[in-house]
Amino acid sequence: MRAIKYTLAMLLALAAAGFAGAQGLSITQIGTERLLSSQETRLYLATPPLATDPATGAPSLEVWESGDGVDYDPRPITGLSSTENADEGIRFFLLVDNSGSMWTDMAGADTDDLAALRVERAKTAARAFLAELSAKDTVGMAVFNTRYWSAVPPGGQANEAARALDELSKPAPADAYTELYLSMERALESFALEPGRRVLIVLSDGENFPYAQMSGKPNPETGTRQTTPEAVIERAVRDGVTIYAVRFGAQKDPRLGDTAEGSGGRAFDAMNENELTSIYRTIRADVLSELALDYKAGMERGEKRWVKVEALSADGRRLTAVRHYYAGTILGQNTVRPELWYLFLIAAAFLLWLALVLLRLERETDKAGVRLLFGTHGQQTRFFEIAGPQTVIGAAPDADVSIAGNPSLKSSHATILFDEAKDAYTVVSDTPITVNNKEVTRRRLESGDVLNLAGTVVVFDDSLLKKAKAMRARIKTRKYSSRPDRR
Amino acid sequence: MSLTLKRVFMAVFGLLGALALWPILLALQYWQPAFPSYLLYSLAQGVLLGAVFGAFFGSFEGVVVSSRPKAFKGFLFGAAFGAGAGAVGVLAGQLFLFAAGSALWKSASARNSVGLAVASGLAWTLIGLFVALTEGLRARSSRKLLVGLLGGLLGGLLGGTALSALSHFFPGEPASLLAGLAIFGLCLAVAYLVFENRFSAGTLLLLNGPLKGKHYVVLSKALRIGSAPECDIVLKGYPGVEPVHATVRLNGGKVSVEAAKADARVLLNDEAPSRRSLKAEDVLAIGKAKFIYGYFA
Repeated sequence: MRAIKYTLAMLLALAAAGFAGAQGLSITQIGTERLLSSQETRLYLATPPLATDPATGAPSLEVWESGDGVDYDPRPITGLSSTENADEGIRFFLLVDNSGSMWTDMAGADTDDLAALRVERAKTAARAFLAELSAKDTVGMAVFNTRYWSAVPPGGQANEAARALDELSKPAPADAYTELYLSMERALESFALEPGRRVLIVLSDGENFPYAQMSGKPNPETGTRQTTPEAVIERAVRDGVTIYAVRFGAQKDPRLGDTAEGSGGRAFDAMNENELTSIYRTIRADVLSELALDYKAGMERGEKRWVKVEALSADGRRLTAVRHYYAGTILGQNTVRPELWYLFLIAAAFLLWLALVLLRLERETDKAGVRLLFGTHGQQTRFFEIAGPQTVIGAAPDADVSIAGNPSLKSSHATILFDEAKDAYTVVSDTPITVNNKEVTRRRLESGDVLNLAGTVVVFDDSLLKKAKAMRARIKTRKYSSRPDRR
Repeated sequence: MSLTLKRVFMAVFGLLGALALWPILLALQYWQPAFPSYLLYSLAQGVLLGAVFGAFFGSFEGVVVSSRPKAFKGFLFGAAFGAGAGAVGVLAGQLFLFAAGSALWKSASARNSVGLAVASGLAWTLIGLFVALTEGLRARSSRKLLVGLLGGLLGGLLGGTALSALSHFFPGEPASLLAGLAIFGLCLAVAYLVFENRFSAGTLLLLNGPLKGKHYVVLSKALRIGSAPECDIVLKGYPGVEPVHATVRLNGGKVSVEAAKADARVLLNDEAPSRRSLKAEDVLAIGKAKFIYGYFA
């Protein structure tokens, strides 16, 4: 089944390639639409007739991928079709120069003969091209000079483009500049959103002549924005758009050819509408004859990938084509081999965590005392130790526990008595205070009791463990002392 | 542990998670070519991110209540749950990228940069959300789940956006990954604590003994107090405290306390609690341990 598919594909490819008369091997567009979902990258290949494997009928094609453009790894081919562009249709975008010189004859002279105008010749050729498009093809169109007019948005129909051609009019002198590369960039911005095989055909009769740099005034639409042929190539490669450039007339932009080739396309020269018509036809036939090749992409680091296709032509030539594309990165990239300190860092984080888990920040007190619970700021953690048989709490500066800041607190508000024999603390007060929200004037205290002295809240604190030990010790002593009595 | 110290600890836990993850993810990125596909590669990143942050945050409650067994158990539970959360988060992010990605970002360059960043931001948000839900699931408390939901959503969104944006704008910069992870951990910690305070039905502040000064936030329907490690408030080293001594109940915003055993000493303002609900400044005695109830900022 597979062999039959390949054979059929190849027969069609051979026929198409023969018709188009393609010379070498080139990768015209790289599609990354399915890279993140199914790890597949698509290549559109312009090839001469290829040799086939006699056993399987599969064409002699190999795909290699690299993260650095030096070391390539072979990648498995998952699909190959020679009718993809005919089946799915081609997305065309015509970018037409409508600068001042387009309204002259081929020699650059003004003329009253309408048919001799460059713009009219371009329109004639474009109409012929539009008439030949298949129903599956779509076409967008923009016209540029100083300004950029989006005549038909990408994805439009041929008849819309044909109507738009009729609306071209001669620009005013200030609008007659050739904003070539900026217009190409603007065309790519909208055209990149189209799915499938994207072909941008730019027709220009002159050199890039940007308004802002040449007139010294900001462009009415783009201000001082500038671009370069390199930036246009970069943009086209990132979004997978092939640029075909048609240089119309004797005056040619020196960088336009490189720009088209950098994007995977070609450049053509035309001197009249017949040549122009034939160029349009060639472009479409070339694209129709392309092979669509899907392969399982690798996982090289970084976002830039090089892909190399090697093929053997039917006439025995070894063909190679190399291009790059961009894949996404998640959480960045790292090309540095992991080092020992990585492990130290991980261990350090876990050891610090362990220290925090094992750390006992809280410590049991071994002294009795009182602590302000809701004291004024900064006094909250202050602990007043209780020493001796009597501890006076009050506002007086010479009180044992002197608490300032509460006008209702008497100078000697309450006293904590300590009975050493019983190891017991008792609070006494003339005016009622509360202990654990109960009003009292005398009460034995235990650790954690909350005392409210006219609004000043203190916690009585005493060692719990010491008390517990002492209690156990007393019980033991009692047991020992009881033994002789029994005897 | 005072509230301030608790916040500092939680922040430190977030930062420790970032510190541990940084070299792990850098190593993973180095070995990216070993993965067969983007899906598995990002799945591995999500699982590791979820597991490490889940482990650190999962152990936090144990540290707050000074229970080592609780901390270790929480660490393992958090790691396992976080790993699962990481997988779910990444898959959701990818699903989003497949379902909406080509509609939102039509050009290849936008899909591979902004689209990918938004999808991974979504994945990190979900991981943050699930990690914050860990404690609520562990404690089976709807209020804690709500805290986790809101804290995780806010913290995950802020932290996830920062993490994703930093790796998007500085892809080759290892420091940007560390910064992103640190912001992620901090946002998660801070947002969780903010919502914990917002939704708490008061706090029990321990007044005496070795653990004095600790704040126990009332967030679950039942809060068990005792000396056993499985309790929510573990009073180890307090005389007169039974393994499971009492339960603090939260019902319709009202907090009450009841003894778990007839002879367990439970006093509310020196009286038997007799089902009345707690009000601010009530003093609760559990054995020899004493708490004051209230709202403490």
